[in-house]
Formats: sequence, C-alpha cells, structure tokens
Amino acid sequence: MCGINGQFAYHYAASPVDRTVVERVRDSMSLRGPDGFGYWQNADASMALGHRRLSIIDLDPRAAQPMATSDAAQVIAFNGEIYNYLEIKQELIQLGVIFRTQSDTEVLLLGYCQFGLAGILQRLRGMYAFALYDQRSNELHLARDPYGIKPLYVADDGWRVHFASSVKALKQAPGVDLTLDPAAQVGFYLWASVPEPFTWFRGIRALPAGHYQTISAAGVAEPKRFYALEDHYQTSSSNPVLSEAAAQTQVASALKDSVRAHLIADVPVGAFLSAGVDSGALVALMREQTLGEIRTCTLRFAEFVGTHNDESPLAEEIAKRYQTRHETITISQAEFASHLPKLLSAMDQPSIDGLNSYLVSAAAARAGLKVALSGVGGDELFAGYGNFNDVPKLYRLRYLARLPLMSTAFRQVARGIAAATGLNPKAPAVFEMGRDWLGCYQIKRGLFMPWELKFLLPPEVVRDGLARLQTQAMPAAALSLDAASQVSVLESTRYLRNQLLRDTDWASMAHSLEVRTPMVDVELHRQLAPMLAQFQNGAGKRWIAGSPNQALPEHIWQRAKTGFATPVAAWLKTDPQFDGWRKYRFLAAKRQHWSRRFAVAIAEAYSEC
Amino acid sequence: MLSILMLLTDGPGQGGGIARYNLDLLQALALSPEVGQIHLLCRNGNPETEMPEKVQCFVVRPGKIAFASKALSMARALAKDAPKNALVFCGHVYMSPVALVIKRLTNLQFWLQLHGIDAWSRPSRLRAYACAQASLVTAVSRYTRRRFLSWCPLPDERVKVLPNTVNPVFQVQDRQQQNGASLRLLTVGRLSAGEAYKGHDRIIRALPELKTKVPNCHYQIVGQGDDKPRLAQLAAQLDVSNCVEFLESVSATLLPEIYSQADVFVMPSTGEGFGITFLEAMASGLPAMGMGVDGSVDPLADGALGFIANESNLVEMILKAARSPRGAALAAAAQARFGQDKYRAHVAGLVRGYVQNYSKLE
Repeated sequence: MCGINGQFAYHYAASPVDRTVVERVRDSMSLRGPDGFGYWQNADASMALGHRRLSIIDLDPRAAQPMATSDAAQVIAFNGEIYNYLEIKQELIQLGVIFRTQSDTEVLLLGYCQFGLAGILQRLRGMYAFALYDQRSNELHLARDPYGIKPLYVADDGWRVHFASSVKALKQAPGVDLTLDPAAQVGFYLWASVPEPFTWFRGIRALPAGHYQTISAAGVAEPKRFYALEDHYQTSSSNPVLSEAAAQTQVASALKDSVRAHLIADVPVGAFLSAGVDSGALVALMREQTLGEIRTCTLRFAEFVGTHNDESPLAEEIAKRYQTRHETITISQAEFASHLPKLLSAMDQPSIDGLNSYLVSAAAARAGLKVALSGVGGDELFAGYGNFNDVPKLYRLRYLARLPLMSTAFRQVARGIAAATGLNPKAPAVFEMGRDWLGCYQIKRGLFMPWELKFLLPPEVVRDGLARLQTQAMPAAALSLDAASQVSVLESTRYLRNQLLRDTDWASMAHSLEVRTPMVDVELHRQLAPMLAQFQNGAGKRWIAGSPNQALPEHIWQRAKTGFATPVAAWLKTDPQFDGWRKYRFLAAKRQHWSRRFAVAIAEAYSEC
Repeated sequence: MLSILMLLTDGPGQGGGIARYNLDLLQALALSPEVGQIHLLCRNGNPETEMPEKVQCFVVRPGKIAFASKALSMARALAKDAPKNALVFCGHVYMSPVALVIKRLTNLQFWLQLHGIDAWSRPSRLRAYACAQASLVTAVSRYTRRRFLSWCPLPDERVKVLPNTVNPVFQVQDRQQQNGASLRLLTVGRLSAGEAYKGHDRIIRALPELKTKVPNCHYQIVGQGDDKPRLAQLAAQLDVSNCVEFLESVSATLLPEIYSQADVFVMPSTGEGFGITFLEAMASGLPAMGMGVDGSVDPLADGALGFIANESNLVEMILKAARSPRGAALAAAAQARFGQDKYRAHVAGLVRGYVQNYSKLE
C-alpha cells in the first residue's frame, strides 16, 4: 500500500513537467507511504512519476519505486498488493524473464512487457492502482482493481494530466479545476458518499474500478472496462443448487484460499475484530495458517459499554478462542472530538462513514501493526444485509410506480401524510422510484430522496447534478440476474465501492496502515458468486462460520446483525461541531435518521477543511 | 478512409479568427492520411478560393433553412456511400442542432468545434442537448474546454484541446527606422462596443502612469469596430490622445510588419477563446502580455512564452515584457510550441483516434 502520483504533459503545446509540483503532490501523501519516496521523469520532461512507499513485500531498497525495466523503456508506480504475484512470476520465469527483486511491483512491470496490458490485468489477483509509462509508444496506462479497493484519481486540463491516489493530493497541483461538482454534491446527498467517477471537485475524476485508461499524445482516452463483477453472476446463474455439505465445503475452500492469499507479506499481519461472523471467521482462518502471534483490535464506544451495541465482550471471546493478542480500544465522546479535526483532514471525500475505520486503524497502528485484515465485503457477497430481502419486496410493488402520472400524484399525497404523521420520509418514494431495481435499492440505501434535494442545494446544482448522474444506470448485464444477485451487484458496485472501501482506504492510510479485505477478492467472487441465491436467509453466514476447522460458536453467528453502531446520533444532539443541520427546518421533523443530519454536518465540515 | 462533411460558419475567403481557424483545420485534415474526402459547406465564404486537394467546396447557402437542408442532403449522400467511414464536422455550437438532426436521420456521428465565448455558457436547451450528443469535441483552449464541461454532461475525455496554430508568414522582420517613441505598445483586435472585453481601455487608463516612467510612449490600436469613439473619448479624458493611434483598415498582409515595429504586444482581455494575435505577435518576435484569465493563458503558455498581468500590476508587467528579449528566440519558441507541423500531426492523431474509438460509438 502506497501513494502514487504523476503528471503527463501529453499535449504538444504543454510546458514540461514541473518537478516541484509532482513532489509536492507526492509528499502530501506522506502518510500513505512513510518508508520511502521516489521520483522519475523522462528525458524531455513530459512525463513524471512519484511514489511514497509503505514497505510490505520485499523491504529491500532495490524494490523502491518508481521502478523501471532494465532498459528503462517502461516505468511503473504501483499502489497495492498483488496476492498471486508468485504464480505470475513463475509463469514469467518459465518464459525466460529474469527478475532483479522479490517484489510484486517487478512482476507487474515485467508481466506487462510480456503479456501486454490486457494480458497482465486478466491475471492479477489483488488490490491495486498503478501508472505504467511505456516510453516506446509514449503512452501512459492507468489501471484500478475490479472492486476499486485502491483509489486512483485523474485531473485532465486538456494539455496535461495529473493523477494521484487521493483527491486531496491533487488539490496541490496548479490548474486543477476545484469548483464543486454538482454531480458529487447531489450524489452525496442521495447516496451518503460521492458516486464514482465523480469527485467533490469538477476537475478531478476517479478512474472507475475494473477499468484502465490510456493517455497518449492524442489525449486521454475514455476508460475501458476490463472486469465486471456482474459478468460472474450472470454466467453462473443457471448453476445447480448445491447440497448443504457441498456448499459448506465450497465456501470453506474459497475462504481459506482467500485468507491464505491475503496473508502474504514480509511484515506481521493483524486483524480488525468485531462481534460479527465475518471478522471472527477471518481471524479463525488466520489462526489455521499462522504459527506466530496474531494481533487483533476491537473498537468500542464508552456510551455503549454494557449495552447490546457493545461488541467488545464477544470480540474478546473470539480472540481468546483463537489465541490472538487482543486489544480493545474504548473511545469517549471527548476523545472522538479530539480526533475530529485530523479525521476531517484525512477524509478524502465526504462520507458519513469511516469514523470506525479511522479510529480502529489508529489503534492498530499504535499497536505496531502495518497490515490488518478486515471483514468488509462479506455482507455483499454472502447476502448479509437486510436489503437482500427488502429490495425484492419493494420490487414486487413496482407496478405502483409505473402508473402514468398517478405515481407522482400518489407520492405528493403520501409526502403530506408522512410529514403530518411522522412516517419515514422515504416511504412516499415507493410510488415514484420503485419502478426498477435501482430505484428500489435507492429507496432502501439512499439517504435523501431526489425531491428533498431542493431543501439542501440550489436549483441549478440539483438540475445539473441529476443530469450528470443519469449515466449511473444499472449495468445492463445485471438486469437478467436473479433478485439476490442484482442486490449483490448494487451493494458491491455502489455502497461497498463508493463508501466502505473508499473510507477504509483514507481512514487506514491516515495511520500508514494497510487494510486487506479477503472478502473482497476476485477469486473468492468467481467461486462463490454463482451460489449467491443459496446464501440468503442466513445460510451464507452460517457457512462462513462453519468454514474454520474450529468453527465459530453458534451464539456468534446466530446473533442478530446489528451493524457497526456508533453513538453519532447522541453526539449530534450535544456537539456544536455537528450543529450545521439545524438551519434546515425539514431536518427537524420527526423520524429523521441521524445519518441525514450527519451528512449535512459532514458536507459543511469537509468544504471548510 | 474517412469522409468528412464540414459544416462551417466562416469558410475560406472570409476574414476573422474563426475563418482562420477553420482554414488551418481544413488544410490539416486534408493532409491527414486517414482522411479520404472532405465535403465543405459553409454559410459565409468564397467557394472560388483555392482549396487543398481532397476538398470539395459546395455552394455557400447563407439562409439557415437552406443551409440545413443542403447539409442534410449532403449527409444522406455521404451516409449512403460510406456509412461507417463518414463523419460530420460541426464548426460551431450554433450549428449543433443541424448536426444532431443529421445524426438522428443518417446515423453519422459528429465532431463539434468550440471557438470560445460561444461555448462558455449554457446555450438554449436544444443546443445544449445537441452538444451533448457529439462523439468528439475539440476546444480551442483549455479554458474554453473547462467552461464547456461546466454545463455539458459529456465525459471529460471526449473533449480535447486543439489550439490555434500560427502561420509561417509571422516571423521576425527587420525593423524600420523608429518614429521617435521609446516604447511602442500594440493591440490587434476587434473594437466591439458590445463585447468590450479586449482591454484596450485598461491600457489607455494605464498610459498616464506609464508616461511617468517612459515619457515618450505610444499605443497603437489595430482593429475595426464600433468601440472606437468610446476609447478615443477615454484617451481624451485622460489627456493621452497624443500617444494613442487607431489603425482601422489594415490588410492581413501588412500585419507581420506592424508586429515587427512594436516593442510589446498588450491585450489585457478577459474574453478570449484563445487569442490568436498573441501567437502572431510572439511568432513575429514581439513579447506579449495578457491577463491570463481566459483562453489567452494558452498562447501565453501559463507565462512560459508571454507575460501574465493582473489589474494591480499592469504597468509593471508591460515594462517587464517590453524589457524582455525579443526577436528570433521568442519567435522560435512560439513556432516550436504552436507551429503548423505539430498542429497537423495532432489533427492527424485526433482523426486516427476517432477512427479507432469514436466511430464505434452508437
């Protein structure tokens, strides 16, 4: 895990790269890579790469980046981990390729030379974002992993492109358009996070997950997709239903393989541990494959001690069962308030999540960990969310929203009733938005409904933002999938990608901690996505719990899912730092979920920092 | 080989910046190896003008309806002959609805050109919608691209920058005997009362202070338009009429000599799509100064080629530009950055990219 950046003055009229700018952008990401830094530029100074290093695999200085081939024809800056790099390396060695280092970066670089861009991307298993410059063709290739675990942002002004691992780093580059993007503002209020490829700033775009982009003298080409999660559901939707025993065996085998792959490192690997099935099973599977000490961390809030929301007792029980060196970190409101300025400064884009990741990462880093596994992603693949039941139920009511004109009229009436009676403000959406899967999903996962935006944003921002967001339709390939698979695609490509994974990245990088996600893995996905329909109603979680040789105890996996609760709702009432929402009268109404008020406070705080 | 139907407002034989841009592009396209034929239809222009090989210029139709129907019939013929290897070039935002209709009726994709202020603000709903249907957009400057993308929901990658190029006739010339002025300022640009963004008045207002530092300075304004009376009155009010000279009718062939006689080119404009005259001045070896708050930041190359002033340091920057080295080195730098060779290679690259990528768009 590292920070990468660079600049390509691709247009013939552009001035050469300014090294001080590239280094300034690079060094604004020093927390992403505190162990070293590097800089490279080509002979005519039209292309430069920067790198901040967090050493995890091959700690030798020879593995430093940017890394060039022996003839310097290709150069790479790489962020992330390639978990199957040893297998690819073996394939390359058999083809006569000679290696100078033990690093996965060199495998990626020489793999590109041998197999080409499409060829190497097809082989990769890992979390990655990289920039690879090929001097022979004068082309820069940018690529990002299929799930979007590692970020990569691009700012193109028409003459030169800047790119970096974080949005805030690109703010350091002159000439980047930092006007607020209406699509990002609208998207944030609709979804609680900024949907990619948009970012908070008009001039900065995310390279979409599972895409690559080539920049040449002719300009910046549109991103091309090389991996789509939905393709793997579709090709397998007709798979036969497995027996309980066969399903359990397949889940266990796939999970063990993923955990094994995610443990590859030249430094100790720990884990975040909650009372949930996912992180508990990961720790149990780590135990099977690790002889030495495993460090685990759990976060709890002082307000929750002794309540059902306190996960620490069960986490401690799991830690004891699998013999980890465990630490429970207790956070009070006052301590959280003291963290807040740094947290907002680290927050790369506005999000209502990430608090827990930030705090537990701080604790893990303080405990000396450089790498930690997280159970994030398990709910998306193993049908763990309530949305796997709720969204199909809403979809069955889709005919209500398909009545011409009537749906809007019903919604207007329902809105009045909701306001007067304190019903959930999203309830009227059933009559207007529930006509398709995306609409049903938005009713459940969305934060504000489209007609509420006018209370939060100027009308022209709402108009422009909604127009730009129209491109964010459900992937066509997903439309023919079964209900559970469609929900899984939506959860994986929206909530997981735009919120959970993005927040995990900035929150952990703020503490120079690499977080790995064995439940978010293309190989695991390929093996288990075909079974998704069988995972519903708790079966998936049961099979996760049963995967370790020493299975998780029944009272762990039978425990009702609580989600990771935070006492933000209570803080919003008392902390003046979160007071911004009070100026919006409609947020004072009954039945407003705390997250809606929190989003308003976060948007204001983010814009100010 | 690609066949292109070019729809232009100002074609060969016309004066002005847009016509100049169109002619340079037409010549570059004609030299592009991927381009087979170019069918040119322009609303204003002289069809008798000598055309590059590959170019067929059709009768100019000044009426909107007549122009649109002629464009459609030409597009139909093109679509029939080469449905997968044909493209419509729409030379102005104003013509985008015509290009859209052609696209709907013939499936021919279109390439839209942005010249400047026409693309800075959201146009009518129809034009805005039509612009968003372009397969490729080229903007004359980075600033124009940014302003266009602020309202048009096209992917950023589809909007490229294709700057003006500079004609080789603009080169360093021998300077004639001086007229006695120790500092000669020059602005070349339209004098339009409606636009009034070129910044002539900024220079006139700066003259009293400038005269305290360089007593014998002279400001030559080249260009036609209805803003001259206002500017002359302003000069009189400030008692600088004696050092302000208006030259209204200057033929294009005389321009290189006029550039060569000045000490500094000044155009503190705030509304340039690009500002071709900056480029012409520098290619003539004349230091140039602008405000850099619009498309002019491109010919000034962010300050690497020319000088960028602001409201508070205008006089200081005029003097700095005037004292900077002029002549062959500056001219060579301007040609190296914006010369026709690079321009034509870039156009050929855009066409190649279009053939490889955009022609496959639905």
